[in-house]
Amino acid sequence: MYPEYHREITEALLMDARFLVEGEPEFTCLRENLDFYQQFFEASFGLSLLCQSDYAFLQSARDNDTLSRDICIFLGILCYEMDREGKNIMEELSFSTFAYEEVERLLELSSYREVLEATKSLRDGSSRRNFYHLLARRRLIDKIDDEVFRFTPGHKYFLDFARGIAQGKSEEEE
Amino acid sequence: MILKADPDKVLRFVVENFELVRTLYLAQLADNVISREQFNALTKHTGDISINRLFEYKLLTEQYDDIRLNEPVRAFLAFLISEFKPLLPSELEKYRTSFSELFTAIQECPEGEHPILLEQLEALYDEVQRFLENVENNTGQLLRETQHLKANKDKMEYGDRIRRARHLIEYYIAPLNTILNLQHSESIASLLREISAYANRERLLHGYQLARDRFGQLHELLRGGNERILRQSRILSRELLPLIERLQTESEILSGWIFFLERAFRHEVPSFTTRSYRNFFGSSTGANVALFMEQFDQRKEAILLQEEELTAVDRHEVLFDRQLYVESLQEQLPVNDFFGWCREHLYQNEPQPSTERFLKICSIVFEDSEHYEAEFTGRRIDIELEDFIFHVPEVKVSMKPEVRSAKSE
Repeated sequence: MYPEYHREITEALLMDARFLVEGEPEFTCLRENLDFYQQFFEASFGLSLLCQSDYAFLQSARDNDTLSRDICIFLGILCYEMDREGKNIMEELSFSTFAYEEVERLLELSSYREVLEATKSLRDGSSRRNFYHLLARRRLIDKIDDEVFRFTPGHKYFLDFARGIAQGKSEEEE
Repeated sequence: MILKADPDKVLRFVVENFELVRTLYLAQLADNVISREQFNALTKHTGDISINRLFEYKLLTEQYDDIRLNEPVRAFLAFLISEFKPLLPSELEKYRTSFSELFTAIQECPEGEHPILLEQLEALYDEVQRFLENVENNTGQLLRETQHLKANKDKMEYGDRIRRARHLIEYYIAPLNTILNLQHSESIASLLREISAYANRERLLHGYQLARDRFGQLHELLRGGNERILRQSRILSRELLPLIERLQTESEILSGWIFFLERAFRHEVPSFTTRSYRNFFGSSTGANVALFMEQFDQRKEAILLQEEELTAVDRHEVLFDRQLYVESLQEQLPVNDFFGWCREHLYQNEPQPSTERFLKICSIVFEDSEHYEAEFTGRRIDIELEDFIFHVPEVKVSMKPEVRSAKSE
């Protein structure tokens, strides 16, 4: 009656509040039964399901989410610093692995240090360690081992957000 | 025509002064002409004789106040240095007119007019050759410009990079793609394919031997040209367009982040996902319930043991008359040694004085603490009961003044 991975999908999206990403059988199952799940989450919990070609998650109705802000600050600074070092941002985020040590170095030297220090979860090395754990639980990153991680396709949601800001701004200018 | 020197001498002059010639070429590439001031600055360290020769050898020409490289020289240097200005697609579009005019003329050439046919075929051959070279130079130059923009060597602002990328796509790359699109019936590439098919037929069927040869040459060139166009078209669609689109996207992402970070705590954020605590039943619910029930199993045994000791219910033993103690305490306030008072009244009022009852009497003050004031003397005294000795502080208890006055009213 219910799709094969119904319980796993519900637990991941609702209870763990994490991304489902391409490559997981749950994600494939969700895409195959997209209409059902959109109705299911809307009717049962009043939540809307956002499903793109390679990631999906349940959107909360909260418009001032601390975690979301922290992620934006973290990704924004990381992108800025990678570009400063002449790296190709989209390629790096999609295909490369990141050493915590290297990310820490970029953040420590960033000209946006003030913003980092004003953000509780990103303020220093030990706070950021917890933050990385949280990102892994929400499946925005995959931990490869104790030293290295990689971003899941979920990061694109936040890149699209940034792109939207620029597009909105350029429309304003026009 | 160069009057004052032989061609090889001119070339030697170019070789000897190549750096100057290159600088002049790049100056013209940037601004289309070389202004007199710019020219003077660039030739500051050049002798008068060499400067004069630049004009005598017709490498440079004067146009009003400005100076330009002579067109064949400019083209030659462009070829040598491989730095061009990409042609606007409309500059390439002119080839469509010349191709179709020459093609119509060749098709309609009256029989027997061989000399003009041969000249027209030659002209078409040269024109196709020039077109192909221009297209290749153009794609190459666009690719270099895009890569340059990507590496951001000029340290352009993100907004400018986006604008430049959009400009390249809109005015150069997309129209060039249309010109080279073989699927598009109106494209120059399609016209060339049509000419090629015609030349292929005529190289076999034309009645005049020399014309057949020329048609053969033209066909060869167009066959090769088709491949060259396909290659360029592939560079455009597979490399250049995605590269520049990605560049545009990336610049947008970055400028978006920068705008966000300027107001990191005031800017709105995307709605994300939050954990839901609706999990009333989880995988461990069964185990938790079993564990919870276990304690009752054990307690059951304890109750059974006590039941044997139970005697008939004594009303006085069971009920604690709190009100009795409260009233008698309030009558006697202030009490200097509260715990002593408790012990005294325990033995006075209770038929079976017990520790538990003693603690209950003590609690009357603490339960209504808003009515009483407690003053600790700092000493400790021992209160001895049947089975316990309490080592308690000496406490003086009195009624709070506001409660007292309320009562007296």
